[in-house]
Amino acid sequence: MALMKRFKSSDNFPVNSEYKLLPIRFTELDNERVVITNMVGEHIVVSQDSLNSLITRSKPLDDSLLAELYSKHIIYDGVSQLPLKLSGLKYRTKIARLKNFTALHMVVTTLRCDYTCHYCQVSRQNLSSDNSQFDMTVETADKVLNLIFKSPAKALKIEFQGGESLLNFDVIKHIVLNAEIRAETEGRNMQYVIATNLSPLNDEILEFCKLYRIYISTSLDGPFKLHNRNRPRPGNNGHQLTVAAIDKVKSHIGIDHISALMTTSGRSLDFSKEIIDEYIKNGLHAIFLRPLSPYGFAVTKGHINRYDTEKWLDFFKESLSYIIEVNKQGYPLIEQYSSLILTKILTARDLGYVDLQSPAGAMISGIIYNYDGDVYASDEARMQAEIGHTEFRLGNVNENTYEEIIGNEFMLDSIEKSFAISSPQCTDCAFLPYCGSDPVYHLATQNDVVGNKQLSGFCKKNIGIFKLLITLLEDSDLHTKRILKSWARY
Amino acid sequence: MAHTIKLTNYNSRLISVTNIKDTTFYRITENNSFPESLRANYALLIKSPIKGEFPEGFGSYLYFESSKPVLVEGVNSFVLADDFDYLATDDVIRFTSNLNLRVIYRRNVSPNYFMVTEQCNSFCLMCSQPPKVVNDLHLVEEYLDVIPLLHRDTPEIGISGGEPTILGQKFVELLERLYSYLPRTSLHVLSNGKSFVDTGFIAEIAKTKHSDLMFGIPLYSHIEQRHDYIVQDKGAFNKTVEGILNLKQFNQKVELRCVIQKPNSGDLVNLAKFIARNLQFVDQVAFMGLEATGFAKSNIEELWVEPENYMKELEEAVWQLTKAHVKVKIFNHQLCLLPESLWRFSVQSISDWKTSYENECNICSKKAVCGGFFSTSDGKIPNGIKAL
Repeated sequence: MALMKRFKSSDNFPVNSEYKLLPIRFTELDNERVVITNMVGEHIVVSQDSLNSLITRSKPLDDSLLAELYSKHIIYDGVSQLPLKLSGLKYRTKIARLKNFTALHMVVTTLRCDYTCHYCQVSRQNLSSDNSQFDMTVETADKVLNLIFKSPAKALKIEFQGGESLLNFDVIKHIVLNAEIRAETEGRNMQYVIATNLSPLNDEILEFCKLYRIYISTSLDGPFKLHNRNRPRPGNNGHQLTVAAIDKVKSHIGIDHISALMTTSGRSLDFSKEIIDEYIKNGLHAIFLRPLSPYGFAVTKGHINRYDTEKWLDFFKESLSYIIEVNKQGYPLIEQYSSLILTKILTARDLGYVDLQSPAGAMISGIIYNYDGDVYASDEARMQAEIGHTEFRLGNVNENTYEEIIGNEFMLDSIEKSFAISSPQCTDCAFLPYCGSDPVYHLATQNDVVGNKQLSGFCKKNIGIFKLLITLLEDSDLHTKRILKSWARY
Repeated sequence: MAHTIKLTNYNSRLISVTNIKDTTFYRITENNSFPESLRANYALLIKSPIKGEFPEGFGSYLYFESSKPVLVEGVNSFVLADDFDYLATDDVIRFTSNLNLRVIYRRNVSPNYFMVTEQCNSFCLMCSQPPKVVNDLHLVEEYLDVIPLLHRDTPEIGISGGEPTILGQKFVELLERLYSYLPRTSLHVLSNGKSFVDTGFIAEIAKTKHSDLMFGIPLYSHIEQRHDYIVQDKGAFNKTVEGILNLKQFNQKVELRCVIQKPNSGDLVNLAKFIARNLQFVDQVAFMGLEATGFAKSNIEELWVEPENYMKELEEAVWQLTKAHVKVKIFNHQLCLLPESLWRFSVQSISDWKTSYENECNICSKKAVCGGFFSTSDGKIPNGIKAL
C-alpha cells in the first residue's frame, strides 16, 4: 500500500541534478581515488571517474553521491542562498581565532641547561655559566609582561621555555604573580605552561604550580636507553629523573597538568613501539609524535639526525597504527598531531596550532621573548637566529614599542607573501584547509618565505599525514574509525 | 496511575444544567471560604455535601453525578460525569454555548499544551494532528483570555498546532501575554520554522524578552529533498534551516526534532554530521519514535520501520552529536529497544494520558523508568519488546 492519495510520492522530490560547483579543490589520494574539499575543509573521497563526471558533467552522478555533495556544500543548486550562508558561517568559525590575535606568549627564562641533548636547537649554556649573562632579568621580564598585555586576546597563555626554564624559577614566579594581578584588573583569563625537563623540580615549585594551576610540558623520548642517549645528562639519569617527576606532577598538581612530547631523533626511528609503551607505562594518555625540525644547531651539529621525510612518515604510520591498536585493547591514547588535523578535517573548528595556520601562525598565533628581551616571530625563528639568521627577529622589549614589534616590516611582508591560498601549488591543493603556511621554515630551508612546495619537507610531511588520516577514515574498520573520530575536538 | 485527559480535544456532554448565565472560563477551587470578592471568576468544586451555610457568589458550582447532589436555585450549577473526578483546585475549565465542558488547563500536568490553531503550511506524512483549512482564530483568542487565570507557578506550557506561527501577530501577542502573566513559565513552541525566514517576525518575538522560550523545530534529513518529501513542501528544508539560523542570531533557543520513519531512518548519522558541522549551536536534538496516529496511521506502510533496524544508526548519530557537545534526547522509545548506551538519553516523553504498556511490561524491572507506548499508536507495537 502506498501513501494516501492526498500525498505526493518521493518521486516528486528528486535530488536536483542541475548543480553548480561551490569553491572546491581536489587532490589524488591514491591511484584510484581523489579527495575533494570545500573551502571550510569538508571532504569527500570519490573515484577519478566520479570526479570527471562531477566536473565535466559527462555522466550523471547517482543520487546518493549527489545528495552527499549537496549536504557537504561542495555543490549547490545555483539559486538557494542557504549553502552560501552556511559556508560563510563555517568559514567565519574557522578563522574566528584571528580576531584575538596573539594568544600564546613564549618566554625564554634562561639559556642555561643541565642537559646536553645532541638535537638541541639553541645554544644552551652550561650550568656553570654566568647567570647574569644568560638569564632573563626581572627588568626585562617586566617589559615582556607589558608587551604580553598589549595583546588584544582575552585569554592569554604564557609558556616558559629554556634552556631549562626552571633554572630561573624566580623570573617565572615574578611573571606569574604580576600577570595574575593584571589579569584580574583587565578581566583576562590566564593559562601558564612550563616547558621543562623537570630535573630542577622541588616542593616549592610544585606548590607554586599547584596554586596557579600551571601546566607542565616535558620531554620523554622513550625507554631509558633511548631517552638517555637522545638526552644525555651528567650522571646519565635523565630518564629516571623525568619519570619520577612526572609522577610527582600527577599527584601534586593533577593528572591533566602534565603532558609529554617526544622528539624523533635518527635513532628513535627504529623504536616506535618501545616509545609508545613508555608513555603507557607512565600513565600518559597523549603523545605528540614530533619530527626533528631543520632549525638551528639540530642540523648543523650531527648527521645522525638527517633522516628524510619518507623515513619519518614510515615511522609516523607505524606508530599511529600501534597507537590505534593500543586504543582497541582498551587504553585511551591520543596522538596529538593527528588530533589537531582530525579536528580540522571533521569539525567546523580550528585549534589554532601555530605551524598549520594561514595567515602564518608565527607572531599572530604565538610569539616568543628571548632571555635578553629579543622578540621573535616563533620558537623556530629564535633557533634560526642562533645560527645567524635573524630575519624574524621583530625587535627587543627594551628598545621597541609593541607597535614597532608587531608592525615589523619583514614579518608583515612574509605573512602577506605566504598566504597559502595564494601560494603556488597550495592554492590548488585539496589539503589547503587543513594546512598552513610556514614562512620561517621555508626561509630556513629554501631562503624564500613562500618556498617551492615541490621541494618542501613541510609540504611532504603534512600531505603524507593528511593522506594517511583520510585513508584511515575511509578504509578502516568501524572501531578504528570511531577511535580516530573521537580524537577530533569539537 | 492517574488518567488524565487531553486538554483541548476532549468534549463531554454535560449531564445536567440548570441554567447558564454566561460562557466564560472558570478557575476551579475546592475552598468554600474563598474571598468573596474573587468568587465570580471561580467554580467551586463540591466533592462532598456542603455543611453549614451555602457559600454564595461563585461563578459556578460543580457537582459529581455519583454524589447525588441537591442543587441550589438561582445559581450556575453543573453536574459532571464521574470521568471528571480528576479535576482539582487551580484547573481551568470552560463551558461552551452548546453545553460542553472543556478542560483548558490542569495544574498537575506538565507541560500543558495549547493547540492554538489547526492550520498548517506543511503537510507532513506522519502528522499526528492532521491540519485543517479553517478559520480558527477563536482558538488563540480563547487562550489569550484564559492566560490570566492560570496558576503563576505553572512550570511549562507547550504551544502547538497546526503551525502556531501562522497566526503572525496574534502569536506574538500570545507570547507577550504569557510573559506578562506567567513570567517564570517555560514555553516550548512546536513550529516547522519556516516563518522564521522573516527576521522582522523574530525581532518581534525577541522583543518579548522571554528568558525561557524554546522552539522545537523538525529537521528530518540532511538531504533537502528528503526533508521536503516528508513535510510535502518543496523548499521547506531551505526555509527551515534558514529559520533556525535566524532564530539563533536573535539568541532564541532551538531544539531540533527528528521523527524517525522509514524514509529517513538511514539518514540519522549523516544528519548528525550535518548538524555537528552546520548547526552545532542548537540547544538540543531530539530523536523521536513514530506515533502511529493521524496521517502516520494512514501512511503506515510507507512510514513504519522497526526500531531494531535503525538502532545502530541511531547509536552512531547520538555518539556523533554528543561528541560535538550537542545535547541529545531520545523520545518515544521503549528501553528494551535501546542499547544500554542510549538509556541516559531516553526521556519519558509520552504524555501520561497517551501512555500505555504491554502485558510483557508488567514483569519488567524497568517499567517505572520506561516511557511506555502511545495508547494512540494503534496496535503498532515494535518488534523486540521484552521484559528487562
